[in-house]
Amino acid sequence: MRKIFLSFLFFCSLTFATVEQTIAVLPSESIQGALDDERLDLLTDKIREAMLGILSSNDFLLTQDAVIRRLGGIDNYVKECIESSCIVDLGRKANVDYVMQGQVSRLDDNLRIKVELYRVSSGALLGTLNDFSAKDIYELLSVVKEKIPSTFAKIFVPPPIEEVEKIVLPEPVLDSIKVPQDVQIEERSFVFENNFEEKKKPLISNTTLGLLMGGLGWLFINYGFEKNKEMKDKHDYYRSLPYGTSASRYDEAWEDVKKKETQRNILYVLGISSFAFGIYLWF
Amino acid sequence: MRIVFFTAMFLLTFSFAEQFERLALPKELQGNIIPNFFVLAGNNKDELYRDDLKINAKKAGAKRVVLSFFATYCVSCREGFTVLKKNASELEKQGVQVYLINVGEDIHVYGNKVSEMVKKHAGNFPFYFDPYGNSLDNFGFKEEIVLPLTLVLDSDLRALGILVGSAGKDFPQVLWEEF
Repeated sequence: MRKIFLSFLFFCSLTFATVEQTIAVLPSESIQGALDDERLDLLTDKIREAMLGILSSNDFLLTQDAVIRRLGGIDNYVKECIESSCIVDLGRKANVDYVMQGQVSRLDDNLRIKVELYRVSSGALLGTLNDFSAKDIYELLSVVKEKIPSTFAKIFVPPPIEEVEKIVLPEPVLDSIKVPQDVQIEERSFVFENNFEEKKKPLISNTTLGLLMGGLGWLFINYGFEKNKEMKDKHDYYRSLPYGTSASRYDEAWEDVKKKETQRNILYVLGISSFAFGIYLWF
Repeated sequence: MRIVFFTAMFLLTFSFAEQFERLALPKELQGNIIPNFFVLAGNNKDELYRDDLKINAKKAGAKRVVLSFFATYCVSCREGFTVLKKNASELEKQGVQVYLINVGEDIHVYGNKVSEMVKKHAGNFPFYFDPYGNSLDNFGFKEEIVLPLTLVLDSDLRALGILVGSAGKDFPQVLWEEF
């Protein structure tokens, strides 16, 4: 009874245990001095703020301090990282599920912003925001506030089922197909079968099986020794047959020797094979 | 005579499992303290840092801190866990703190499996996750590693030894007796 209760508690704890998805926003980069450090910090904060607005309760956005601590200090945090592999690498170092970074550059008189979001485990680029309409940092912050939710929200919040747009299938064109009147069209429905069977646990572990095979091999070899002894006895008997014994008697005794020899050999082969297989399984 | 011979052969065959295999300390672990690292708790959010280990060891008056790196596919890890579970009270008596660290497995995919494995085979030892193997990288294990890998530290987190592979007959005494 106690076991059932404890199992129930264990499963309850598993049911309610949530594994959160973690996201780190890395410091924004300025290409060719498009923005100074102070403004870049402001931009990073704005990206973080905009992201907070779209994350579900199962997502966890790391604070700047947490990211710095995870990366082992400010030096690693502010390390210049423009290539995607470098961004993903920093995400790995921070042990997060998603990593994000903004980059600002100048395009004529405007500021161009690129914000990219990567899945760290695969290194896949999941979403990117590109805009070059902002004239200054304030317009850039507005762009971030306005466009980040629309660009990245779909990655974190799947749309509710009822809001999914109904897929309208085109009407089948039957004009060109002549269906004879007397043909009965059978209605069929598709049944999706689950072909993925859970891998069953073996009844006996390899170690146990190895021991059993080893033991079996041991028995075969010992039994082989017995047969060897019997064969020797038969051989002694054959050799001790007195002079004048009939040829058929000699043949019979020799056949006995051969029979025992064959039995012995089979048992040796079986024994050695089982023993070797047992050792193989053990390791 | 033949029985003696085969018994000797049998014992010789299994004598390789007598002892844990020892690895030389990489240069990253030869300092006064192991390099900084952190691992994740089961919720993927909370962290355990090197300094937390030190604080915990001081608080509990531990003499040794053991980091046991494992994965769900590793059969020898399970066997090692069973030995640890059996000797949990002795480990506590000897002042050995054990931390189990899952390496290289996605917490979202393997989290529950890891939790079940630890609960079933290791009991109540605390377990953490290092999905990208960063801690092992920091410790200087750059090449392919063999699991289970057990890192034995003193209470000041100075690396004393590394044990790899299946638990030998000297396990778990090796954790408090040797080094």
